Amino acid sequence: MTDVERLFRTYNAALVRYLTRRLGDRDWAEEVAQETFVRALRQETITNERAWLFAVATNLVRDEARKDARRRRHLSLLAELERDSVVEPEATLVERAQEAALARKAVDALAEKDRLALLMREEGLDYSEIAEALELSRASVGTTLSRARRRLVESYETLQKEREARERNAAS
Amino acid sequence: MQHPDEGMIHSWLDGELSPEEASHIEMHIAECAQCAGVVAEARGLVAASSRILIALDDVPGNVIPISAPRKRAWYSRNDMRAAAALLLVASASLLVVRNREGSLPRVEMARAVSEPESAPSPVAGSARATDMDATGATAGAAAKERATGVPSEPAALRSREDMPPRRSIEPVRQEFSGRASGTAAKIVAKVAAAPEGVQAISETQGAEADVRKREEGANSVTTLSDTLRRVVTGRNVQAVTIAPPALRRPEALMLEDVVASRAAASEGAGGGGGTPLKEIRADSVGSVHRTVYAVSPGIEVTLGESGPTGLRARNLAARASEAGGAMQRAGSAPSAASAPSATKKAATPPAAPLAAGTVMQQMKTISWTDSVTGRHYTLTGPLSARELEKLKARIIRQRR
Repeated sequence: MTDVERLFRTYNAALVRYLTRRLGDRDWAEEVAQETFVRALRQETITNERAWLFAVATNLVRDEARKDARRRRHLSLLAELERDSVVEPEATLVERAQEAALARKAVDALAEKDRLALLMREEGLDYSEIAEALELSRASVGTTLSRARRRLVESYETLQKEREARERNAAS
Repeated sequence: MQHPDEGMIHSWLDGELSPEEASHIEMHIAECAQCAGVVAEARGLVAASSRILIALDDVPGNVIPISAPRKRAWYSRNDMRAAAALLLVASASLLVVRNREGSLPRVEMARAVSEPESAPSPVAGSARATDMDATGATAGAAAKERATGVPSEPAALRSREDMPPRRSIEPVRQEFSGRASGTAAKIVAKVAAAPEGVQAISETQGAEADVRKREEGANSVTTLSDTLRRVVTGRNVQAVTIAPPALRRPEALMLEDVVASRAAASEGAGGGGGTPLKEIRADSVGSVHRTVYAVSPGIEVTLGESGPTGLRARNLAARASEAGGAMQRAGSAPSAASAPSATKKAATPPAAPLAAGTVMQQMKTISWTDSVTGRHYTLTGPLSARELEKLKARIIRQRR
């Protein structure tokens, strides 16, 4: 197994999930993730793989992903295999869509640094990796995450209450 | 111990504290109910934020473009393409309608547009050439010069005298001979033989594809949009209406010769009747008496005379029109208006002479009824209606 394949199998799922949550578009997230692995191929040495991958992915999102169709084709096949193994949870489509819309609104309301730190933490990056990827001090990551979590939950609950109020008004 | 801040509590819950820091916090929380409440709340925030972030995974793909869509060229926009296609259809419909209305299928237009040297009738030439040859500046100008060069017009005569005819005609011939490829010749030949306008159009479209293939050989790529653009600029109309060599006039009847003879004829017709018209021959068919006059070398007109019966006169006019070959429908308005009791008829031209490759003289017929005798007259010849009107006046004076 080549290095890029190992990296892909180890980090692709987390990276795509992070990017999907970050971007709100799974296809776009997969493209950016693949571009990230293509960049990893060109990198001779990577000290902290996960931090490096998430940092590059984050920067790619900022700069907009560039395409390298030839190499990405192979990665797409691997991604398809992985996607097939995922079992979708059962829930009604409407409920899931409503929850996703609220979550998207709440996440978008966060400050950029809070959002990225939170998304990276959700993908298992430790504080050192988050600090490295976002160019923060390690000591500030805890504070950043606590602020991000509180604001996210509060924002989400506010949106949820507003929706429930609208539904009540509509019913009455 | 001092109360740990919220960041420290989250770091502890995330397992990011050193063992010493972690043990200190555990001891404090066990003793501090306030901090225990903060820890409980922090656990709830960690779990809730995770749940919210998981909900983000339920998103469709391709809802956001990777890059902003590029601005497309004006000719590749769908609305512009639709407009071009509409124009193409409208042009084709117009050709069909015009072909069905009149006598000559497409060749008449083809000749008028693309081969002015073989179109002796200047009026028809001007009408068609200005319609069709929008972009062919050289050809259009030359055709227009010829078309408007009705012999009675002093400016046109001056230009013919000052400049040898070949000089003004040669560029036109070169241009059209350059365009008149074999494919184009085939197009017109097919069109000439086509009895129906629709068939003519379909043949033309097929042949146009041939032209496009030929262009592909030279230019490597010719797209549909190129074709549509040519339609917009009118270039393709020229391309498919070039007269084939088989339909061109023999070398003995070059355009300048015709121009010269027509100039002489017009001088004779418009010169006030200084010398009487020469009567070449006369015969009778049934009750119709025909007299052939020589206007100038190579130019003859036929006077048909019949009794006062209106029906017979109309039949004669129709026969005279048929005998005259291709009648010009266009450009007859001024002469019709000037003829007092003329009853002009649009004749159906035969397609056979065209298909056989014969030279088509642009014959024209005017007719009138003598208000005193009630007799009906028709005058047919390869002249314009205006010229025929002048000849009519001379003939009437001469016959008195």
